[in-house]
Amino acid sequence: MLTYIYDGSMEGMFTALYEGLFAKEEIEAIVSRESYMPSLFATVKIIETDPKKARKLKYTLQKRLSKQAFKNLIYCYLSESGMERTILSYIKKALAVRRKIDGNFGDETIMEITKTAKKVAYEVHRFHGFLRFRRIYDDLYYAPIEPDYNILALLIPHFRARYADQKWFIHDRRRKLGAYYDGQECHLVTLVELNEELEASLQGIKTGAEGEEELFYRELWNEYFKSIAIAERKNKRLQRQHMPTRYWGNLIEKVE
Amino acid sequence: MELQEKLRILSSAAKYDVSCASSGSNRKNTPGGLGNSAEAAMGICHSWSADGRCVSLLKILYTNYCIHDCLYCINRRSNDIPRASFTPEEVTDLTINFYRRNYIEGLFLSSGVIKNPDYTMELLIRTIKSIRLEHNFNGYIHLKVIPGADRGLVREAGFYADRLSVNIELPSEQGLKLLAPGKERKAILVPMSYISDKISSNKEEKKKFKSAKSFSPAGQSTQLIVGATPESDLQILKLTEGLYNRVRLRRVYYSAFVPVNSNPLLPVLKAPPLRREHRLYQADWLLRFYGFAANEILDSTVPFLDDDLDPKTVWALRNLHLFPVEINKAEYRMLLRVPGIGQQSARKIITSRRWGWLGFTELKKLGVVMKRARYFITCQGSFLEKIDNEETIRSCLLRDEGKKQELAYEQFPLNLEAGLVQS
Repeated sequence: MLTYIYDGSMEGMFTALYEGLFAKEEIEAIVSRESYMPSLFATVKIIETDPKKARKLKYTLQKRLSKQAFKNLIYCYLSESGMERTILSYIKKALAVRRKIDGNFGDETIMEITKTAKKVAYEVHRFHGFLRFRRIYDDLYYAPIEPDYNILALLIPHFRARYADQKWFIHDRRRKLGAYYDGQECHLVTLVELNEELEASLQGIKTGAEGEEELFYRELWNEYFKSIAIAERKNKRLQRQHMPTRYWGNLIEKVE
Repeated sequence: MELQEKLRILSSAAKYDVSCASSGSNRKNTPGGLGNSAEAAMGICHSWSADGRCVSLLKILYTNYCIHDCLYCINRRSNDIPRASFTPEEVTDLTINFYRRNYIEGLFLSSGVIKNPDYTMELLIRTIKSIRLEHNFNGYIHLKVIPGADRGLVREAGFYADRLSVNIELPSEQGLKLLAPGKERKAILVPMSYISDKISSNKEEKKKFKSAKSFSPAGQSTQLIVGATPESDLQILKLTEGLYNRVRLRRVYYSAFVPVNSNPLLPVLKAPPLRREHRLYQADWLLRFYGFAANEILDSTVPFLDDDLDPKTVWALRNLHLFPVEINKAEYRMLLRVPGIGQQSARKIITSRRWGWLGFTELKKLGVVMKRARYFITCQGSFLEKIDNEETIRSCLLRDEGKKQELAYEQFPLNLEAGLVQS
């Protein structure tokens, strides 16, 4: 019984998977350094990230898997929910036969990969709607998010196409990651923390004329949000089902 | 009047319009422009209001002044309520600023009728033209067509809007005569079929000339009020079927009657008929996605949808001779007709059984609702539970239904995640 520990990066995972394909021993788990819990009985092998191996495996997978299946594996990695071992099983199954295996939902591994990928894709879809920009400096639109999965990179294409003419910054507060679009290109940045001034202005504290304009539209939006509901049809449960409370914190509208 | 006050009045006056769709247009962003409309087959919902309805568009009336005196409408001429009108600039400003902050997918603009239909329609067109042309806005615009407006105006509107809609208001002509004395059925149906023809000819044109301007690319929809007049569900579904097949509407929306005015001609209700509305949406889905015809769902002996069970299950119970369906052999068409199997699980069954026999455990995992499907299917010839008595199955189903408290209102109940990953 062997546990692989990799550095948590996507390349690291693909290196571990590559090693896993050729390993003689049975691999019990593949975990990132961060999520590793030491155990008495496990034998541990530290996997050094090797870009060559990672590239080689990715290349093979892109050739042998359907586009959707490959995407599903990436989504499973981004789900950060300990799917690495399942991904290895999936790859073994996929490479063992000539046919594309995506359609075989009777198989537990395939179903699990599909389900997890779907959850991630659904959260991406949700955030296309739930993300809210605040106009903070004269030209910059800022949006804080705290998604369950690591979807920041997956959000970029949508917002880039839609808001091509404005500068924006999407900030995953939980993971301290940011995506900054400068009007031309989009940059991913790590270790993002806000200074106090910015943090304060996000809480709705007025800062000059710009702050006032921002507050003006926030209030209008709240007004709209309240008046659009039909009192006779009130259904909070349904509202919550579609918009779980964990997403409320970064919205502009005051949901109750 | 302050903008905030106007917004309160004119969004509150627009809230009885049901449609919130923002999909199907595929309008791309332009260089230097703002926005696009959702690429996915499903629209994007930005929020959900306290009634559980999704908020996708900025849904407002241009004005709530109106020359009509429709009995069911909050904005009827004889009501003593605060009135307001936007200016084109105000609507533009709200739309653009909400859109830039990702509050909305776009604008849904409707209006009370001031002076006459043409005058009102011109104001609406002027507004959306300014949003499109002066602000290079490529987000979604849904425009309500004012019945009785000149054909040339309807034509012009279609080149700026993503979707046009004419409200059919009530399920029958008698209903309309009774409750909306100023409106004529003909004035509603004529623009509807004009828009429909125009959309199809525009599609042809676009095949030949790529540069041809799109006319209402997200199609046409309508809505009707349920429960204000005595029509049966059968009548409503027949009407809907005709609208889908003959006028090629994208969607028909049903709106449970909310008594906002009192009048001896209006029914007195304790609460809006939400359950009925929900069942109609389910039946509507059966028409559009499950290959059902209206007269399969209801007939003159049973003209109303069942209160306790969904229309597909009711159909299956009436047609027990067609069951059980063998999961490993049945055609897609028939799988779709099994209660508890939706489009997604039907598709998954088809692709999965190429790899081997499917059993009940696998079915459950791939998303079949077993508590409903169990009475209607076999796997490799064996039943999970063999009951062939309609009444017994019905009571078993009701017992299970009773356990889960059903949601009173679901506008998009069946396919929320459709086409996301596995499409």
